[in-house]
Amino acid sequence: MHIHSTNDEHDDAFRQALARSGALDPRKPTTDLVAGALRRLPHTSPRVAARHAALRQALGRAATVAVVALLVIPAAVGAFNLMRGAETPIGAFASTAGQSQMRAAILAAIGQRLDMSLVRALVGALMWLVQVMAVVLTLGFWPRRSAAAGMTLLAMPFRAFGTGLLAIGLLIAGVAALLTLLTATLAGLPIAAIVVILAHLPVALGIAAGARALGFRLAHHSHPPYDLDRHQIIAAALLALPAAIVTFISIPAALAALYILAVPGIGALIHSQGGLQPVSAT
Amino acid sequence: MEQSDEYALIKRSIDGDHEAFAQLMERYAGSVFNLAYRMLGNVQEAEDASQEIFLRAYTNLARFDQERRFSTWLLSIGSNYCIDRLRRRRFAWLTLDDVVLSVPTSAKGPERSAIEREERDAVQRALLSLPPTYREIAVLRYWNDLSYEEIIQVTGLPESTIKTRLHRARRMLAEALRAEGVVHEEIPS
Repeated sequence: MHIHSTNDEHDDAFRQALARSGALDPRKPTTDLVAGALRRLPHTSPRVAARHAALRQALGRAATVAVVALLVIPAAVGAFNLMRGAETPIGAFASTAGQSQMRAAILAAIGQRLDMSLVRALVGALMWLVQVMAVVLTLGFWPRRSAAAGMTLLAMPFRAFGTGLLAIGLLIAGVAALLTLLTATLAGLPIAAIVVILAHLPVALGIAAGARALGFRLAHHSHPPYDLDRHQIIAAALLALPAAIVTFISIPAALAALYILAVPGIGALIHSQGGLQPVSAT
Repeated sequence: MEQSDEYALIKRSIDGDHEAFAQLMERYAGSVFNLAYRMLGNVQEAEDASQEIFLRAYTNLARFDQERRFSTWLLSIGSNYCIDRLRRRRFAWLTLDDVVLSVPTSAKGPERSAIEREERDAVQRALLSLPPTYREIAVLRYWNDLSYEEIIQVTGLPESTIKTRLHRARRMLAEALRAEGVVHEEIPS
């Protein structure tokens, strides 16, 4: 076969060469294509469907703009406040209460409460329960993607740990910078709280991926099923133990334990593109 | 199907007649699916994309200019959608859907065999090595068999751009096909 590819005169020759090689043979559409599209058609006329689609698009854009504005405006105002040395809401509160006195009072109150072994035990148990629930829910909602991330973690544990460590470092630095700006304005305080919650989503996902990997090991699966079986639940319960136990010593240390546990899973999620493209050991 | 029959079906579809639109879909399922398959590279994604293209066509049907050919209008929706989808691929991991694109397995089930068949499709591999904008023009020209005039209508690009892209696409595709072993002789430059 000879293919000319230099100019338009050889267009036909190129087409014929492709045809001779069988490259132009049409691919038969899948049997369910038209029936599937028919099922997905809106139950209204195209005009009404177009109006609905335009409205959905406008609402989507408005929501995106609102979310970005909610984040950017308080952060920008916070940055401006910090640059001109204005008093931040937290600073104002602290100076009103007497910063050192307030800190001492808070620490004393927390210390007094947490010294009580019963309270510590309750906090530890609660932490364990919340972790298990969060992980089981994540595994239930994303059985395939969490399985893919778990599979990737088993295939490349050290690389996943390294990547995860870097990612969580960047996440902490980024969130800390954002929180500094957001907490410099009064309006930014509730948004800062939401940011803190959202920033913990990758941690939950990372622990879930770790639980998947541990569950596969417990079940001795080389190519695991997606189902949420007892091995996954046992793995979730086991992985929740370290942070819960550390709570007896120190709550900040428990948080650190959570982040460390999430590191390999976060790395596996990154390597598997959020569980879309798993990496296999075989 | 006569042109007048086609317009009658379009008119009925605009009035909300799903059966008429189903007939239009049956007629163009092949060309839309092949465009999506050659642009996106796998059957599963091509099926989903084809359905999405028909949905978009239905939603925009009231705006269809009857001076134009329905096939080129439909392919312009398809072509734009595929390019958009290829761009969005890099953000696919952000989706909340519980999908896995490829599961590595040593099992030799029918699904795996189908994947391997696709992997063996050297032509498809060669085509996927082209940048999407070049691939688009090559697919429309050779696989959908459109004229330059029709490609202008589908893409909205000037003829000179189309000719340049087609020339480059042809050269790259010929080289890729030779590298894949589909073509064995030297390609003239």
